[in-house]
Amino acid sequence: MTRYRIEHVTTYEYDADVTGSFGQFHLTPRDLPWQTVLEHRVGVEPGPATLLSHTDLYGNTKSSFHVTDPHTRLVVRAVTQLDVVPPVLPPEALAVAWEDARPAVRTEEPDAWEAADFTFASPYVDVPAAVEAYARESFTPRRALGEAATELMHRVHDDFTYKPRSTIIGEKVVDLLVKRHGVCQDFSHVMVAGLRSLGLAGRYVSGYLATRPPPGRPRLVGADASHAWVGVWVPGAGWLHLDPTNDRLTDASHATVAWGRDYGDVPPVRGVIFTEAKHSSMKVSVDMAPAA
Amino acid sequence: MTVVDSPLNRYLDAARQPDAEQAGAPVDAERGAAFDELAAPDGTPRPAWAALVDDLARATDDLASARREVARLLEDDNVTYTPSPTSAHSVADLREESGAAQPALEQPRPWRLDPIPLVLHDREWATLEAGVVQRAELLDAVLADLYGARRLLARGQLPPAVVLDHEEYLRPVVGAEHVVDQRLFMTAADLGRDATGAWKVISDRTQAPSGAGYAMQNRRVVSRVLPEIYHAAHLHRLTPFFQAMRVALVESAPSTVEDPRVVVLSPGTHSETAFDQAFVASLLGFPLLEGSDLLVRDGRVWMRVLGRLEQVDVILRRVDSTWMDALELRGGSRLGVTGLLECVRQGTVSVVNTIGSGVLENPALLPFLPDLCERLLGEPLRLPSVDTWWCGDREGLAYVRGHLDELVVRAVNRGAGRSVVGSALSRDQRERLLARIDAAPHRFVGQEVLPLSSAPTVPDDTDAGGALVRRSVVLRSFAVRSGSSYTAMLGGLARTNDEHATDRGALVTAPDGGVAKDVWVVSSEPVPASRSASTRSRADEGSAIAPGAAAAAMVPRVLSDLYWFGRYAERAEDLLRIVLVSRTVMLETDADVRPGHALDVLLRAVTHVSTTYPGFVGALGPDGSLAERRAAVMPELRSLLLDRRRAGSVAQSVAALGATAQGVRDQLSEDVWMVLADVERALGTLAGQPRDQGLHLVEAGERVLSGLLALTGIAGENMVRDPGWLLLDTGRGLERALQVLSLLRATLVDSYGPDVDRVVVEAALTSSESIVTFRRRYRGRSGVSAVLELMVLDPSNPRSVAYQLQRMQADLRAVPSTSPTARPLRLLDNLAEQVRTADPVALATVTRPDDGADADLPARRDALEAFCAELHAGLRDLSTAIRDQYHEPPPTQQSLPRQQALRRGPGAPRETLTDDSQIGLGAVVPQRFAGAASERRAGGAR
Repeated sequence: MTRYRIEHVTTYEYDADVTGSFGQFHLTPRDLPWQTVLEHRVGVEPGPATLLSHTDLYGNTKSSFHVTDPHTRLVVRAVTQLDVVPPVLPPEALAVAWEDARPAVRTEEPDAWEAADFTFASPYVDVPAAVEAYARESFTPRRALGEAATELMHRVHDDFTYKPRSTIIGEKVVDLLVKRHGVCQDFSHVMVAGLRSLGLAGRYVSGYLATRPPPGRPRLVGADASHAWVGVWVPGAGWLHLDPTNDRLTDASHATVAWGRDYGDVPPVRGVIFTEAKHSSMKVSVDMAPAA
Repeated sequence: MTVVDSPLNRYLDAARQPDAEQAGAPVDAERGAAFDELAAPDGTPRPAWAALVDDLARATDDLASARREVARLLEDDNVTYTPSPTSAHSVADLREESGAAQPALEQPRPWRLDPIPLVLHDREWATLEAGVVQRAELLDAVLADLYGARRLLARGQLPPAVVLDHEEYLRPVVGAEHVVDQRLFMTAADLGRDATGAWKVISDRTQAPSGAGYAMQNRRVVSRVLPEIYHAAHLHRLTPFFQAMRVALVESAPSTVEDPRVVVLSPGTHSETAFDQAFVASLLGFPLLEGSDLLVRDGRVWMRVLGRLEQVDVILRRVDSTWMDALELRGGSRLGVTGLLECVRQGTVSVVNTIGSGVLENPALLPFLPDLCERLLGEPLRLPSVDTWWCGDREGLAYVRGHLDELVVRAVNRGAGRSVVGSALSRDQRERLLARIDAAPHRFVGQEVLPLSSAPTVPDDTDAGGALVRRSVVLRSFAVRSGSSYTAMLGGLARTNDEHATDRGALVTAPDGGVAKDVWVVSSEPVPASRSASTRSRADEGSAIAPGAAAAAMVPRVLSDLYWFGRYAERAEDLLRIVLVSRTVMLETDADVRPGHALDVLLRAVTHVSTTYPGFVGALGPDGSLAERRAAVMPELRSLLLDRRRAGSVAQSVAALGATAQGVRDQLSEDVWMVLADVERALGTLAGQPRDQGLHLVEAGERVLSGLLALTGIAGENMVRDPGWLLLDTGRGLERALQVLSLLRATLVDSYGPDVDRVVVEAALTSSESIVTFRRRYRGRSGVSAVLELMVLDPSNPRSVAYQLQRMQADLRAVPSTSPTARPLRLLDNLAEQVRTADPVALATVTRPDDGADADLPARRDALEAFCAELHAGLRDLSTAIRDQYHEPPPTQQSLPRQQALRRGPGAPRETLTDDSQIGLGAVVPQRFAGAASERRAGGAR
């Protein structure tokens, strides 16, 4: 078991007064069999007139706020303390032939209909023919699901170059397949699209990853960012989570915040502001440190 | 008594002898003898029509004139429909790739209505009605489940692919307690008959059903064209439906609210069914608002009224769901209310139909309805749907592939394109469609092609004594919530296919194209009068359901529209007057256009006053030869009346007048539309006389002028003195003051000597409607100072500047929440002071040109010029101050930059996201104006 303290600060600055700011955030980590949230709080500055939370259809905590004090700077700060253990799935569940892991053919499973929600194209995950061809190289007939999914993860990791600022939010999978570079969100969207192209349920997971500093260097506070990875439905056992950006299954260094069909279902913070400002900037800082 | 040779009787005769094809009434060979609404197979009228048919035959004896009369009445009420450019492509067409140009905005088109109603007997109707009501209950139960417990999905009673891949299944709404409470408020169904005459549902309309207003409008027009028949028929009225709707809206309010405020939310005047929205709002007596009129604060929805906020409890939504909240639904939308969804979730406001209700329009649900009806309502489905095969199951897909030529193919998602008739596809289209179906079979259905019934219809190109033609009919029924069940409209909106129908197949479900019909549900017995003993308006029906409650919503947009209504009306009137006067002077002076002569001064004044430069001061000015200048006068005057694209022209002001009136339709007397229609007709007549030498110009000008005077009369005599009226009147006053000053400046500052001055002064006074007073009061005097006294300083002359200032002061002081120190009032005080202290004799003093200057140069009244310029600038400031005070524009809405998930694994280079612009996120901030119009269209409910 590993205990972490996570601080995620998002700061927006504007060149003129913002007279109203509506925001929605997904910053509250989930309680899961492999993750226990010990403490969590979110603060918004200036103090919001309203701040409300509810649980969405996927079980995520969604919060929305409305700041009405005029401001040129908005800060959303989330602080969490949580414990994580490496998630485990029974090996026999992962040995299922991938064709038999498609929700449409496993209607006897009580959660198959919910998994089916992750088999369709979604606003940020198009499923072009090219992505099916790409995925099929790993998903050969009757191959074990765990093996095939892991290989797809390897290939996405190897074929795509991690390159910040090279893509926009909402970059289409069809374009990513040509560009072959992006950030973890893009890696995840490509892999999710590959799974869905075969009728498998693939979901997008938003969270944090604990980092080790390079040897001999101190850990830099606040240098981390939010992270994203992929889940694939395993009939009868839940979900297998894979991190194509780092080419490994998720473990005790992955803290899960929220999941959905794609980035658009669970962005860390999004908002609409009322202002005559011409320019706005955003700074994000995430710090995930081992806690006592 | 039978009228032997009328079009209607000939239609009946033709039905008896289907082989003998009457001209214009061919029986479609492929469809065989489809069910005809009027004629039974033996050529006798069906029971519902029996009592009406002779009168109807007589009344429609002259089809051309009946049709003209209908068109005129619709024009008088400005009943329009704006075709949607997005409905142009079908599921089998090539799609434009991204980056394609935005489709051009369509102009509103006149609503088309056939004089002959569709007549149904109430015995038949009772069956249909029970089916429509049951269907509404069923859809409501399905909706509640899909957004609530989701048992249908969990238990496999609905395949996930039917629901979860539908574009209108809105996940942010799923599970929200209060959303489920609101459920389905209103539903419509498009119905057609099969070969046996039985009704089947072609599609359900649950997003934000349109057409109830058109149905009422159809009734009003037809009842005026066929008054005797209308009153003799034992006809069920439509009014009770709107009464039920009103009650249901009030009852939709959150339970804690006692006297709920209900509003109708429209995507704006550019939307397809803008007329329908505005008409329903005024029928119900609820304000018609747009998204910018509303805002969220403290977890509630408010409307901005005269600088304060009033809570809104119920929103009748005519904006499509996905556009309703820029925060949680479609980012960048300005049609809805940002933050609305959270209010809905908290139960502080009710939105009907509830957000997400469009999921029920999914045609893939149709095959499941019989089973769902048994499960959810415990009874068999009364009203069948057209046979529908969902390609998401193997058998359905095989059937559709194998029978494509017999089917209509519809995409499950409306955004994927309109449906197509398989047999009408080209080879390319067919292959493209099949490939699309194979790629995502669950996104398509095949449906049987209903034969549809035929009904006698007046063809477009009919002339007197012409024949009726058989046209296919689709009927839209409406049901609105009533307690725990639904009430159906006793009537509906029927549409027949038009001459362009072939390329759409027999489908007339799209409201574009096609000609509407009024739907008469008749009884064999007299129908008891509707429960409310409403006063009989001119058409018996359709006056406001709750006139007392039609309290105007003085939101900034409405105040702004009314203010500009006043300004445009005055602007058009003033230009017309001076144009007419110039024309008179032209006749009197034998078109003497020499520079420095009276006509020349006046024509230049026309250009100055209307700011239609260069006009008579530019290329038409003193440079050209006299003959050229003379020849150019009439075309320029015509252009000033007719050229709609020319800012400042009469036509442009009239068009702007119509546009502002459209935005506040619920605030204005219906007579306004009749007047505007006549003004447009007068301009149209003039446009049709390109070689006119001035006779038609004067005639049309006088007609337009009398129309504009009628508007003044309507505003003066028929409008409540609410803040809207006060702003309208302020707009009029401000524009008139500006116009008077421009006119005086253009005619009096330069002096060309007593002879010219005399003519010019008379013309200016005539054009300002002050010549009679002037002659009486200043008998013999013709000095400029007297003119200034009358036209600027005299507060008792309703055409003077001083009068306008007083009028605006009185108006604005009466607007609630206007403090005595508000900027507009302070500016008015200053202006009034300037005018009061002006010395007309000093202003009229002529400064002689310097010695040695060109003798042709006019003498100038420099003091007058400075005075006019100063007042003019003051009035401009006033206009800005009024805008800031009452029309305060909502602040610009932008999306926040979004953060990318960017973490990379241990040991990897560290990346910190610092500036959104570096990663191209600047693009998420919507442009303020780009696409606003097309957005309005796209978000518009159908």
